[in-house]
Amino acid sequence: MHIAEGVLSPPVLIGGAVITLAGLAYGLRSINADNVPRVGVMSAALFVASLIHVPVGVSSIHLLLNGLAGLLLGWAVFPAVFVALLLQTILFQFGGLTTLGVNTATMALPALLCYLLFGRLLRRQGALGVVASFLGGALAVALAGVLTAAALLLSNAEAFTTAAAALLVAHIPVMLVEGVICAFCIAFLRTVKPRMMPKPRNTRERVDVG
Amino acid sequence: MWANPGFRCLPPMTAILVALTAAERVMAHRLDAWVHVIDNEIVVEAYFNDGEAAQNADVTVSDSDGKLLAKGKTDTAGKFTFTPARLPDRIEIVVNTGQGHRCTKTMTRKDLVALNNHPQMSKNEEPRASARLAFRHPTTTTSDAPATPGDDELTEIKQSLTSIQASLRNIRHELAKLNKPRTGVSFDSILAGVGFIFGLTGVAAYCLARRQRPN
Repeated sequence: MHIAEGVLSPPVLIGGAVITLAGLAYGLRSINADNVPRVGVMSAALFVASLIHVPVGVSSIHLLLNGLAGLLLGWAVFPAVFVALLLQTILFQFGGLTTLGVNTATMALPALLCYLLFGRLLRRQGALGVVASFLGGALAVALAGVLTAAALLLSNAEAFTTAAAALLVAHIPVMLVEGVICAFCIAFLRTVKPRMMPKPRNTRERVDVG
Repeated sequence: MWANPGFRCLPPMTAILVALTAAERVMAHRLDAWVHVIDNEIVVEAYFNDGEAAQNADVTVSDSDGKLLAKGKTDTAGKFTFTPARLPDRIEIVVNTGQGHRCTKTMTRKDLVALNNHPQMSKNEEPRASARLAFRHPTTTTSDAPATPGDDELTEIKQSLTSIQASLRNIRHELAKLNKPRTGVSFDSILAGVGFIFGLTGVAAYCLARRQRPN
């Protein structure tokens, strides 16, 4: 999501920054020698995904790919999204530096939630795995839309009511598209590189320290 | 064939290549506005960086003290036209499409000099370009007292002004075209961004490798 400078109120900006800092701190700890290339590749994918845009009515909507990133990265989705958005802000002037916290949070929080909800199901063969990855991709976009709308409404409820509603409606097609993309990518990776699938919850990933 | 390790890096690479080729064609959106003066009206044209007009966007115009001068919405071509009741030294134009897209343009009186027929301008300011044109007319030469040109001359002057304005309009369109690549997303910056990310990944991998090195 690319909320520009000067749109949101200070409390919302600070709230977003705090969430993002916490997510970054935890996310960076989860990066180890095994998943560092994966985080880099997904960050690059997030960075370019926003450039693929889907015209919807008067507005234009772009791919987010946050669901896919969340499912593959878990907590490390925070640094991946943060780096992608930071570079988009600097190179393309999308969004803004002050809104970086809010924008990261609106994309990474739903991604993380999808990982926690559907991550374990991705290893399953057959319909269950496909449905889980579709839902993961779609729900992450839907929730990103909801969080962005919430950020706008919390800043100025009167001015942004119609904008927030329009934002949610505009994300319905993106939701479906991303769900399909996510289902395909996960199915492909499950076949080609099963190691990339999230590990079952009880055997947590080893964190290499010292 | 998928058992071959060489193919393992295929999916991420393909994803990036597909994304890159698509990115060259289409742009994500950033709102921009172009403010200019045509026929004594201030025209605000709001557009996304892919060139699409920003329709039905809220436009508010205020002076430096924040007092509202004009307010409205852009039409289907992304245009909003207004004539301010008064002309302060500095006006601020804010375009907001909602959905988090907003842009601000600040115009000084100098920028809006083409608004020469505005009552406030002619009262307070030196004679503007059009006025000077009239003074230089052969029939109204050396005399210090401002002479009134005849009706024929007036229509002539008006005609030449209209043609000048028309050609100016063309020049402005050319300028807008020239400015577009700068506001948009260039392929170079996409590559730069991807390069940055891979660089960061390398640094992270290096740090992790150092940490893991057995003593």
